[in-house]
Amino acid sequence: MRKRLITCIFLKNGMIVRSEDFKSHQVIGNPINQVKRFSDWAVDEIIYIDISKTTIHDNRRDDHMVKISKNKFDLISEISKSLFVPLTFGGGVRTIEDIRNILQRGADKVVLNSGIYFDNTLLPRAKKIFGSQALVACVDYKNGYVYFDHGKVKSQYTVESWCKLLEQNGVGEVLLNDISRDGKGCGYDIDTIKKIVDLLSIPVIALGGAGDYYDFNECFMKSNPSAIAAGNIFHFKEHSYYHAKKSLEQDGIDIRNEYGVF
Amino acid sequence: MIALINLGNSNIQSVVNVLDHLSIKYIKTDSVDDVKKCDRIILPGVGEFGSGVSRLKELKLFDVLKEEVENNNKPILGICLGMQLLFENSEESSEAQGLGLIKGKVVSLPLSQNYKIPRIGWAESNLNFDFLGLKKNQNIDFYYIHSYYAIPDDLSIVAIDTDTQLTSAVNYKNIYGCQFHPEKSHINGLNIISAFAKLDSSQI
Repeated sequence: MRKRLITCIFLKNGMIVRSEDFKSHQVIGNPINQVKRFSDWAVDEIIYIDISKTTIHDNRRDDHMVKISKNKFDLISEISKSLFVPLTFGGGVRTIEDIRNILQRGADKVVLNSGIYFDNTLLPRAKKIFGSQALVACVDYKNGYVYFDHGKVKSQYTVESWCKLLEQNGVGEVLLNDISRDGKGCGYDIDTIKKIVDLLSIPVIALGGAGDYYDFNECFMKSNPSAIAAGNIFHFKEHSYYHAKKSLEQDGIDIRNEYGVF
Repeated sequence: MIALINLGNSNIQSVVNVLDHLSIKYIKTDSVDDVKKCDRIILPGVGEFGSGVSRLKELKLFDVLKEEVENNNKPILGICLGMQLLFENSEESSEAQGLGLIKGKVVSLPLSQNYKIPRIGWAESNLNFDFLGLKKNQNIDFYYIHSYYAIPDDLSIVAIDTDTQLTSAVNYKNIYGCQFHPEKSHINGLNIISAFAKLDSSQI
């Protein structure tokens, strides 16, 4: 099994945003335009996380050439039409209906987060209906503790205890997000990632902290997650996905070496 | 025309998107009449083996699929759970009987250093013989997401296996199955679906 390099895209009110500190968000693009680029790059997988706090949906431009979407579910339909690699979607998922809606629009997996915390029946019910393989749990943590509701509510769970609970309740994958590193480009939280990778028998995806390509190499070599996800780095550096893959290849990391077109 | 079987809970939209993209004619359906009218069948699916079997029975498709594939020689492509349903039984749901179009069973993935379970991601896959447009001895990465895999009684029908010698695709007469998701495996996967749509059924 190859190690995956995943592009993670944060959406707010229908637009792609750059996120820093989990608080400030700068609009950087239209997701429907961008999706073709990622598809051309033959990325291993894409995760979209909608961090909107309102249901206002605005793709900004409604002129020629740019398709618009009316709401986040509509957006999934538009994105999935031209994306023939795995698509994971999350953000604000609270009910079985939300999950069904996302999967039926063409996503392969759904990211759950606070929904599991605020309703402890959600995960077991979802597992029964959709199966573990469709369910990814995003774990937002800072200094060893798990936070919910966009990083605002600190819980009593340590990262280890929450991850173990998620695994027992049937989640298929864990997306481990160190929110203190969000947008900082300071490298991944190797120690915690390694601890959780060793603790769980399900795949772990590491997120938060990529500043340059070598951060990916270091994270794979020292903490061995099944996948690494990153956001900002793939938006701001030219041909960044290609260069990141090349960098991993040079260190002998077992990756899918298909590069698509540029 | 392809009958794309809609079992309900599966994320069939990914397959729909590929068929639309490739301008392949299909009907998304759960009706017996459509399956009889079409000249080939795609059976996608995710989730549990037992509930897949129950859905096929509830929709009265179970016997029709067997009839159309075995007696009328219609090509069928099973994807992921859809491939597993082609077999006789599965460790996942010991009480359920699969379609039995291929002799063999579905078992839990063995523990391995090579992957975690569910086994999710891209894996190098080796062609044992030509399969839906792909050539013998090719090595191609496909996208997998599963916890069980099929073992046919006759191992010579294994068209593709992956890096850890797991059955990845099978072909027995007009019956094709992929454990991986061709609809999510970028260009190589799309080529498989395109080749299936173009199969000349008189030559199988």
